[in-house]
Amino acid sequence: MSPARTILLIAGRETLDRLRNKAFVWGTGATLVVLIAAIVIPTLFEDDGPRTYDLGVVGAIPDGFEPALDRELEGQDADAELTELDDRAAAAAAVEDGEVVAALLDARELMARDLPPTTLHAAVDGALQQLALADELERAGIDEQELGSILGAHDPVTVIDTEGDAGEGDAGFVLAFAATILLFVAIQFNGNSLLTGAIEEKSSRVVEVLLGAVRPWHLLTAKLIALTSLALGQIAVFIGGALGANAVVGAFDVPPATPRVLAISLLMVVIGFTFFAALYTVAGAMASSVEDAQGTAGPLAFLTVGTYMVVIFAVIPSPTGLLSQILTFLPPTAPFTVPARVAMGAIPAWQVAVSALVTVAGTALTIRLAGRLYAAAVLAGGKLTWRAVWRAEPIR
Amino acid sequence: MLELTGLTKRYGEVVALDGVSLTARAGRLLGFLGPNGSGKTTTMRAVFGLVQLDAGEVRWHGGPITAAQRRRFGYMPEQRGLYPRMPCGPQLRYLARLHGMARAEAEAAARRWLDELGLGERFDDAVSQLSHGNQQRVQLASALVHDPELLVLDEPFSGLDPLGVAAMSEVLRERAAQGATVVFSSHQLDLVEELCEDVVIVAGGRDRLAGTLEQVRASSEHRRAEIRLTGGRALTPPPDIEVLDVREGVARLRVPTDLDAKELLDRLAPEGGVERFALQPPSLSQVFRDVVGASVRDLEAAVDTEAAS
Repeated sequence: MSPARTILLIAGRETLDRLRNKAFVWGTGATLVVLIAAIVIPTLFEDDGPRTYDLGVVGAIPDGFEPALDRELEGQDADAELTELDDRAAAAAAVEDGEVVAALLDARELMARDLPPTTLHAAVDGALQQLALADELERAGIDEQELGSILGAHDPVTVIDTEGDAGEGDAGFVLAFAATILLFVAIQFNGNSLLTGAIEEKSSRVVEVLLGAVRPWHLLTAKLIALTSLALGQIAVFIGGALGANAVVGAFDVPPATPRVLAISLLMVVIGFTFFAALYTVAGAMASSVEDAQGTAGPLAFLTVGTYMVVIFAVIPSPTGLLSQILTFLPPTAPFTVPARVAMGAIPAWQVAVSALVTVAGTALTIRLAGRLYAAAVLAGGKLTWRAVWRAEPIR
Repeated sequence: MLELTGLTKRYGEVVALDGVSLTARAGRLLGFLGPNGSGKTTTMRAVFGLVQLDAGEVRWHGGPITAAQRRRFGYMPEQRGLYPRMPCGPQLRYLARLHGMARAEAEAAARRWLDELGLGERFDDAVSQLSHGNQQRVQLASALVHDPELLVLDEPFSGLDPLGVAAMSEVLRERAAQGATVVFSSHQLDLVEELCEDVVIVAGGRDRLAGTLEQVRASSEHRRAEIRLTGGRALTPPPDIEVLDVREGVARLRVPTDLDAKELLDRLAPEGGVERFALQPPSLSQVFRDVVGASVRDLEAAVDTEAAS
């Protein structure tokens, strides 16, 4: 029997075992329900269609103001309804009662409770400016047709990023968070399973029966394959559920992810998960009870949460900063950092390539080391420290 | 044939194995006997490559053990264990497959063994739902399910009631009769005495005596005698004969091997009137004491004291 067959056999058992585990199934289901609820519920309280601003008007307004204002608001998926008011006092009363959201006074002042909505403010300004400009041009003898072509003379500007590739804009920002958060969630969600799986084998002593027939590295590799596949499956279920729910209610525009962003994110999630999974399995093998495991896995939890925090608070606000660049090349932090920087378009291609190489190599080394530590810990009695397991003698 | 030669293993200051050798033959039951802490478990683990030996060789059929050969071994570790939540049948089937059996074959073997041990109805029950005794049976089945050529059992009788001991002995005899090589360890020498065909006595990480049961017994300079004089009259033993105990008029004696039965009787009861007399080979624990110079219990107590200090 080849090692590959042995490993597949073990991985099959591990996978089935997880799928039969109520905590895993219910946890995944509950997370999916919360995720879908988070997408669906806000839309239930949202008005369908464009947002309408009630705008009070006092005194004269330029001809064509209403269509000009609607044109401005169209881009923001909004429109305006104008109500004529008698005077300043009436406007103040209407604003105060909430009858109108703001009132335009003599086309010069915009009155609101606190500040007027930014969108409306900008649209009113834009419309007035455009009308004034059109007025001036017409006075200068330019006819209406020419006027139209002048006003619509140029396309929106294209954004060029001097730091590298063009960014993905807001969509990239969402994706950057998504890959980092998914990796973090996958590790948090499955770290405990990895721990308890290894502890169960050790505390029930079944591991010695297994080791009569298979080698420790077979066990470790099979566990990593099984748990990484399950974690990816879980992520796929979450993404599928979110996209499915969104397809029904249309809560947000799906970011137009490029294949490159997706491929790099997927690679980094897989490598990052495997890296932490290998260490969590060792931590489990070092413990002899679930209580012990809180201690042996402590440094790992610290590392994961710490990395996640650093990426959220340091890398995403400053994706090209020195810290971001350093974190790109460290195997434990790269899987959290690189997808974020790629999605924000804030990383040169060479850094992606070098980081991928470093992370793959680092993870491969970590798995080898984990294999050695696992083999040393798995038959040892009692609870071991990381120092003790480093010094302990591995079995084959 | 399993041959271990000169196995040596140190853990820091502690010498676990100090040159253990043993040979186990096909079709025979070998008892690997000695006190706790004498290196039995380390030796057995070495057969499965679970110990990095400092020196020594483990050979099977005259050569180093290959991975394929090792899958034809069955192992019952001292620390028993199965997946508690996994059902018995699928668990045995899984272990059989890990030992290289095809799926259908493994399934059939799992059912056969559960039936044989009277657990046919419990195929789909989790191991943790079984009583302690039944869990032990499943454990035994897990070592046997793939029909191993070599069966290594570490303290298989510990924790078994007399019925369990009888059932386990029966299974081990059957396996040997079918041609398997069977090695089991025990620190309860007298419990397993009648089961052993071959014996290796180990103490302090070294084999001290090996051979067939008769050879090993013969190596002792003493035999056991049991005598009751008519009416339970008191006995005055000669100075070279040690009285082990006297209960209800029955005296148990330790007598030199070269003392002839007739001569012994004459010396113990010169006027006759013997109600009961038996002359037996020494018990294995007696042999152990003769060879090692200390009893199993004394050595175990010494190991415990060492571990505690």
